[in-house]
Amino acid sequence: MTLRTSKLIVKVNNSTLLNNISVNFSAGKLTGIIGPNGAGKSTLLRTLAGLQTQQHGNIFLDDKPTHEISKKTLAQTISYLPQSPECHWALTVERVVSLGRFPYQTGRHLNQKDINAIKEACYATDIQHLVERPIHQLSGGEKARVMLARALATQADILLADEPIVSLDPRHQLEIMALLQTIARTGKTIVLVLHELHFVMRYCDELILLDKGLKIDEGDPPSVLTPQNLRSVYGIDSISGQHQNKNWLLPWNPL
Amino acid sequence: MMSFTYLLETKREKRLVLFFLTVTILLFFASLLIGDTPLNIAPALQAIFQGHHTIDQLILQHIRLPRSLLAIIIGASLGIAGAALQGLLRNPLAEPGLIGVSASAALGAVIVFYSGLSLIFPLALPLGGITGALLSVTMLFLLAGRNSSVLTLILAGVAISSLAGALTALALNLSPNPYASLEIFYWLMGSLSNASLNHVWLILVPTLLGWWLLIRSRAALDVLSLGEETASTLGVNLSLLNKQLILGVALSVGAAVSVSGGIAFIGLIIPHLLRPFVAHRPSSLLIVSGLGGAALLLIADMTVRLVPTQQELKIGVLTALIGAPFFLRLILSSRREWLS
Repeated sequence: MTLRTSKLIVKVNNSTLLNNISVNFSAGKLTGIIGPNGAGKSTLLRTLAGLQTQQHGNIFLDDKPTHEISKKTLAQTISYLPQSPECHWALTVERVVSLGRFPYQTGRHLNQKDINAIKEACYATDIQHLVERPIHQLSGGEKARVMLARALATQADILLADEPIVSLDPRHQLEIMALLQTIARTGKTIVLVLHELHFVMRYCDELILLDKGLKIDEGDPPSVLTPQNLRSVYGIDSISGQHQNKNWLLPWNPL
Repeated sequence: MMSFTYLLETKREKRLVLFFLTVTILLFFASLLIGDTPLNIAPALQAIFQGHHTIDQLILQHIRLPRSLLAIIIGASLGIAGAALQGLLRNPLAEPGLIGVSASAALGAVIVFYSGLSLIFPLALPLGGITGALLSVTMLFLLAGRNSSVLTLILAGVAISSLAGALTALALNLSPNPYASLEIFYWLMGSLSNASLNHVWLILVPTLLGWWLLIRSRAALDVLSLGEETASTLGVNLSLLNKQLILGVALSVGAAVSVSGGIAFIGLIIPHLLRPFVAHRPSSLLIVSGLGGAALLLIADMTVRLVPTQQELKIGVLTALIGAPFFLRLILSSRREWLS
């Protein structure tokens, strides 16, 4: 399923957070939204998730404006994982993950399809050994994986995740990025807000570079993460190369 | 192999509901039997069915039965409403009084007392209470605006509560007749001693409507554990959910306060005590808390009947006496959580 925005303008208290943003998120691709702090990355993701209203422009799901689609269908189609997700009660891990099935449920009970989706999400995020534990007893990294599992359990065609690997250790960061790439390969549209440029270079298929609410560049990682863009937008020097036929990049010095 | 416990959890929840249901039914029968005057239940029941008038029949049908029924209905309302509000606000310290409904229902009843209407027409008192509760909820939504957030609703509730409290104090202050103000004062303390079957019929419809609104929204309370934004992306209509829950609390608790006066802390304590038994799941807490509230209020009502005080101890005083230390303990333990 393709997610597309057309001339999106978002203003909050007279300051323009997104200015005339037209972008395409294709099915089967892992797209990264990148940019320095205050660029409008999270605002764009929240607008796509329907949490922020735009003053101008439209969001389309396969050419149908999202405001013409029911809230329930949208919830089944777009899964959103916020930055630092929360859980207010000491629910068990399996219960938290099961909440991802809410868009399909009519009551409080889960059917076999729900249970299968929950199990798949738990295995994919490597939390199957934690399912009976109360979520507040988990470490930050474990919690982050549970929350990702919750978002995956919806089995939506589109996954929007705001910094999904921010509190994970390197092994789990690599695993989650590889997992998201694998999920994208199954035909899903994955959109991530990321700060880690080395992961962006290695795992993303497409990038959208934002700065001060404007779209600066878009395309595949090597064409966007150019020394010029990194200097002008991030104010950094970087080093890069290739390893096992894959591009790598490391932020090196502030200018 | 992953061991999922959904089925186990559902079974446990059913068993818990069955347990509390049995306890409530047993307490209900105990409540019919226990009191100042010993009661011969068999002749009393016989008299009721044969349409005879005896002392036992009078005590059973017109004093103990309505009192016990009201204890169940009101206790259940406080329990369900407390659990629903704690789920909505995602805060274990929330209780039904927070949105101003209790204070406004009390004010409505006090105005009826003050005007002397209650002397002419006894049901004017609960009617006044229900009117007060409904007016307060209308005011709440007007104050909070169309797409009201939970925070605005609470702030508006606090404002309404203070206003209703001030107006109640004004009525007491200006009361021309000291007996009338004493009567108001006693009523405000909360009691079931003046219960009649008419009260039961009167509050039944708003109460059931309130329960229905609360229970039908409960699945969304689970999703709300993830915060309002995530819940919204999972398809929860937050504005509708807020309205349904607030209206449900207003109807059930407003109706309860209008016949019993203020009965504090049940809506706070019961959900908190029972939460671990339902694995902290907000949606599972409603019915269990309703039954727990009913059981606790039946026990409290039997206690005030049995405690040999010169004047019957008011049930609201008893629940507050038990509830306040409990509330303090709750604050202390949450402070520890915040500090840790």
